[in-house]
Amino acid sequence: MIQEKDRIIRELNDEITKIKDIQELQNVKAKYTGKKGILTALMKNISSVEPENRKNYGMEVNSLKEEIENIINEKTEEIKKSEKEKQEMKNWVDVTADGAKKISGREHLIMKVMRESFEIFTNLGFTVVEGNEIEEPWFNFDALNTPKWHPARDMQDTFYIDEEHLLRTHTSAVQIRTMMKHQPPIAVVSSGRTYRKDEIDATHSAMFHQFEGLYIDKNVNVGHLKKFLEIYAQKMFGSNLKVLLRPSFFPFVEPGFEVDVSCISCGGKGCSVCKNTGWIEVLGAGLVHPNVLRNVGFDPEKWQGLAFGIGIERIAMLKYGISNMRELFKNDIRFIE
Amino acid sequence: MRISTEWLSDYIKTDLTSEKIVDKIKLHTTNVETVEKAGQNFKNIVVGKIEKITKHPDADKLVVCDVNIGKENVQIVTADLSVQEGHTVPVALDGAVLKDNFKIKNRKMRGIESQGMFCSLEEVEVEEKSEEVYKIKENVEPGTDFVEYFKIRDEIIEIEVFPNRPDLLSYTGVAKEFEVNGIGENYKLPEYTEVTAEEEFPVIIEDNNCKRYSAAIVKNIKIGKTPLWMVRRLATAGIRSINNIVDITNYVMLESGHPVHSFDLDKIGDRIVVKKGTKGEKVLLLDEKEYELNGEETLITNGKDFLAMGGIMGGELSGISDSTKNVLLEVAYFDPVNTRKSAKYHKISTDASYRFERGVDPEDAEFVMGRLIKLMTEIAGGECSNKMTDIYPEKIAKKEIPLSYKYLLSRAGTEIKKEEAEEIIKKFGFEYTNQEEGWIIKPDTKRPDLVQSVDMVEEITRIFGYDRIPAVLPSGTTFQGDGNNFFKFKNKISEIIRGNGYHEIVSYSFMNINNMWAEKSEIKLLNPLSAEYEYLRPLTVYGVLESVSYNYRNQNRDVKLFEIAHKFEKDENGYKEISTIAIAATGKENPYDYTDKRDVSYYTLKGITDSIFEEFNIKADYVRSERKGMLKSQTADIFVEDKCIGFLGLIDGEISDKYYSVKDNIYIAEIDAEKLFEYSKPMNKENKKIDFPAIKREYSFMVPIKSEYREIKEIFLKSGKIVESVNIFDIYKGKGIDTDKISITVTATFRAPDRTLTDDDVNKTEEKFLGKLNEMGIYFREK
Ligand SMILES: [Zn+2]
Repeated sequence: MIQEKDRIIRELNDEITKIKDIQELQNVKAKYTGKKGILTALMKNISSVEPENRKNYGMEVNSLKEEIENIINEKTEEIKKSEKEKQEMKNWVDVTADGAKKISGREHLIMKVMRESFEIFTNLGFTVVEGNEIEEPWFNFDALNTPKWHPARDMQDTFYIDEEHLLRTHTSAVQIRTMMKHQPPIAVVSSGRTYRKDEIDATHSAMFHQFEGLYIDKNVNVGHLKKFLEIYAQKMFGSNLKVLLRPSFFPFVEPGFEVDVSCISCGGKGCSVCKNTGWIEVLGAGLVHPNVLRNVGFDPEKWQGLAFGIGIERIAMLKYGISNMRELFKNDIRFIE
Repeated sequence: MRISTEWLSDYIKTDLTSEKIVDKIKLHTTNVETVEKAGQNFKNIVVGKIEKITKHPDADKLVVCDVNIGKENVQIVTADLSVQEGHTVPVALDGAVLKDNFKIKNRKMRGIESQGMFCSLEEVEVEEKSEEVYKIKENVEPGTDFVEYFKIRDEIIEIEVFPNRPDLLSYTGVAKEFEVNGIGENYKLPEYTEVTAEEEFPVIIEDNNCKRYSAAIVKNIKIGKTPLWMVRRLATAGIRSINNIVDITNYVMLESGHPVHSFDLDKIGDRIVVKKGTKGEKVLLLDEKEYELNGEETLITNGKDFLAMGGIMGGELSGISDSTKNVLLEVAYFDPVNTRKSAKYHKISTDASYRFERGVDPEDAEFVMGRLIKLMTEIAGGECSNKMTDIYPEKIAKKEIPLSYKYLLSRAGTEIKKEEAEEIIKKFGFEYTNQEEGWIIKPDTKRPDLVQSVDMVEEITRIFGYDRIPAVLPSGTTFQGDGNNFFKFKNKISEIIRGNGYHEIVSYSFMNINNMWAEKSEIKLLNPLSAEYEYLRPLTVYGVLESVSYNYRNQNRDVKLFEIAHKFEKDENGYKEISTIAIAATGKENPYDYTDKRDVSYYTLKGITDSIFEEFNIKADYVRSERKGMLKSQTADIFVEDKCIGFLGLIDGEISDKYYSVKDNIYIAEIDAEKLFEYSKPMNKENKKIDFPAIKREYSFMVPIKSEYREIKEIFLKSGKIVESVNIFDIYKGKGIDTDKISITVTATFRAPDRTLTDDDVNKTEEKFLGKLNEMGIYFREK
C-alpha cells in the first residue's frame, strides 16, 4: 500500500505541474477524488483486505485523500493567483499618466465682476434693473443735466446712429428710465455695455462695461454714499481697504466724487500700481443733482439721492492684475484658462 | 491746465513742497494729471557775451568764438552760424549739466579747443524744439548764472479742469483756489494800469450774443522779441513765442482766464461792429483756412469787412504783423452756447473758444484791459491814453444763492460747525449776508458754476474735507433686494453652458458688415472708429465666431465659446435689441480628456440646448431648416409654442474657411433669451410618480433617413399611458447600414402610477407602437 501511495502522489505531482488552468485541474481532481476516481476505487478495494488490516488500510486511504486534496488545493490557489495576475496585467494602467480631465468653462472676468457686484448690492437691498444700449440723447445727456451745448458733452465722445439715437456712453440713462417708471424711495443697480469713441489701447476700449447704482430716499447724504462704496470696495478687494472721496465733476451729481481705495497691491505704502500715492482711483459717484430730480418730476425739496458708476474693466484689471484692457476682449483661451 | 509753480508765485505765496501741494489739490479741488520738474539738475550755465568770431581753420561749418563770461573769457567752437559778435547767449561751461542729464566737457572740435557749448532753449528745457542758439535780449552781466537769473528751475503741476470750473483755466483763478484750499496765502492780482471807461474807438454791438465789448488803443508799439521770462512761462503752457504783442495777449489770457484779441489798428478801419455773419459768406481766419459761415456766428467787423470770428479766432487780414505800429485791444464777453455752436460747426477749438464756451468772467474787463496795457507799454514800448470804450448793455449781475445751514448738514452727512462753514464762505471771498436759517451768498461772476444751494454745499464740504465725513448706512427705508429674474435666468443659462466646457466670452457689439455672411445689419454708426466697427451685429454668434477664429488661428483647434449679449435689429417700430445666447464650437468635445475622442457634433450642442429647455421646463421643437451659410443635413430651427426662437447647426465649410480660416466643422447656436424667459415655467414635480417599479425595454430600429426621431418618440408616448419616457441609447449610420437608413436604438420606460406592471401590459402597448412604426417603414434592426 505504501508503495502504491507514493506512486499515486508522484503521478499526481507529475500531472499537476503541467496544468495551466482551473478546468484542467478540475479534471485531475475528478480523476483522483471524483466518484469514479482513484480514491473511490481504493476505498472499494477494502473488501479484499484482511479484516484485521482494514482499519489501517482505511486510515492510509484517508491520509492519502488528505494529501491529494492538499496538493490540489494548493494548486488551485496557485492557479487562481496567477489568473488574477494575468487579469491585472490586462488591465494595467500607468498610474502616473495624465488624468482624463473634463473641464468646466470659465466665467468671463468682466461678467464675473459684474455678477459679484450685483451680489454685493442686492444683499444691501438694491434691485437689479436692465437697460438698452441704443439710447436717446435726452436720456443719455439732457435728463442727466447735460444739455446739448454743454461742454461736459466733450467728456464723452459719442457714437451716433442717427440724430435721435446713440450708443449709451454710460449706464446712467437707466437711472432716468427707472425714475420715470417708479416713485421713490428707489434703490436700484444696473450694469451693461457702454460705448465711447476712444481708440482701443491698453486702458481704453470703444466698448466697455459700467455698473451703476441709484438710491433715492428722503434723507440721503455723503456719509451714506461713502458707506455703500466702502462696503463694495471691501467685499470686492478685501476687508482692510479704506475709501477716499475726492472732488470731481459729473453733470448729474452735485457734489461729485472720484473715489479712491487704498492700494490693493501695497496696502497704502506706495508702489508702482498706485504710482506711489497709496491710492487707486476706482469709480465716480455723487449726490443726485436736484436738476436731475426735477427732470423726472421728483421734488428735490422732498427727495434726495446718491448715485455711483463703476468701471467693470477697471475693477477686473485691478482684481486680477491685468495690465492691458485688450486682453479682456481678445477671448484668448490661453488667457481665459 | 499746466501750472508753473514759479509763475504761480507771482500771485500767491506757499511754503509747501510740490508733493504736499498735489495732495491738497487732490483732496479739495481736482485731479492732478502729472508733475514735471524742469531744470532741477542744471548747473554751470552762465550768460556769455560773444566778443569776437573767427573762422575755424579746418572746417567751413564751424566758427570759433571768444566769449566773455565775466571774470574771464573762454573759447567756444560752434556749428551754429546764426551767432554774431555782440550777441549775449547762454553758455554751458565745462562740467555743465543740461536737459536729460547731458554733461558738457572741454573738447577739441576739428583740432580747436572748445571750452563748452552755446545753448538753445531746447537744451535748457524751455522749448520742445529750437532751431538755433538762444540770443538773450535782456541786458544781463556776463557771468550771471543763467538758470538762476531766468528762473529756469520749475515744477509744473498739470491739473484736470472740469467743464464747470473755467476759473481754473487761469493763474489768478488757480491762485485764488489755492488760497481757499489752504495751499498758500496772500493771494493778489498782478499789477495793472487803471483804465477809465470813455469812448476811445467807436464800437457798435448788433448781435446780443456779445454781452460786452471793451476796446482800447496802444500806439507806437515796437514789434519784437519777447523777454525770456515770458517766453519761458508761455512755453510751460505749451505756447510758442511769436512776437511780443501776440505773446502778451496769450500771457494775459493765461493769467486772467479771459481770452483777448489784438488787431492791427491800421488795418481795421474806423469802427468795430459786432454782428451776425451772413450765411454762405466766406472768411479767412488766422490759421490761413477759409470758412463758409452758417449765419449764426458772432463776427467782429468794421461794418463792412470781416475782422474776426468773435471768441474763436482772429481774421488773417486784421492780425498783428511785423510792420504793426498801433494796436486795438479787445476784451469781450461772448455767449458760451453760441460760441460753442460756432466752434463745433466749424470744427475749431482754440484756447479762446475753449474758455468762452465754459464762461469767462464778464466783470473783469477793467483788470484784463489794464493788465494788457501795462504789459504792452512796458514790454513793447507802446503809448496808451488809459481809456477804453466799454459797451456793456446789460450788466451780468452776481447770483444770489440762499443756503440754509440745515440743508448743508443734511447733504454733508456730518456736523459742520456754523462758524467753520461761514469761515469757508469768507475764504472764497464771496459776498454774503447772514439769514436766520443760514446765508445768502453772492459768488463772483468768475464762478458761473455756482447757481443753486447744492453748488454751495459742494464748495463748503470739499474745503471742509470729504475725509472728515464719517461713513454711515442710511437709516430710512428698508429695501428688499431683488436679483431681477431675467438677470438670474441668464446667469443660470451661463452656468449650464459652462458646465459643458464652454468658456464665456465678451466680444464687441459692432463689426464689419462684410463679415456678415448670413443676416446683415441695418444699423450703422454715423461716426465709427473704422469699418471694422461700423455696424451693430444682427447675430450675437458673429462675435463668438470671430473669437473661435482668433483662437483657431493661434493654433488652438479645440474651441468652445459662448456669449450672452444683445443683438440689434431695426423694424418699422424702430431699433430693437434682444438679449441672445450665442454658442460656437469646433474640434474636440472634451479636449483635455484624451480618452474621449469625440468631436463637437450636432448632438453634443443640442445636448446643451436640451438641458437649458429642461431646466426651465420648456417644450421646444427642432425643425430641420435651410439657413443661409448652414448645412441642411445638420441644421434645425428651434420652435417654442410655434414661434422660432433660434437655431443650431453646422456652418457650411466654405463659410468657415472663408470668414474664419477654420478648416474643421464649426457648430453654432443662437437663441433668443428673452423669448426663452417668457416661455420658462417652474418645474412641475407632481407628475413624477415613482411608487411602483418600472419596466425598461430596448428597441433597435432601422429608420428611413427622412423620418425624424421626434415622430418616433411621439408614437411611443401616444401609444399608452404606461409609457413614461423614451430615450435614445444609440444612433448609428455607416458600415452595415444602407445610406438611406439610420439605426436608432431607444430605451423605453414603462410604469403605471397605481400598480406593478406585468410583461403582458407592456406587450400590449408595444404591439400598438410597433404597428404604427411599421406603417412608417420603421422595422426592428436585424442583428
Ligand atoms: Zn500701491
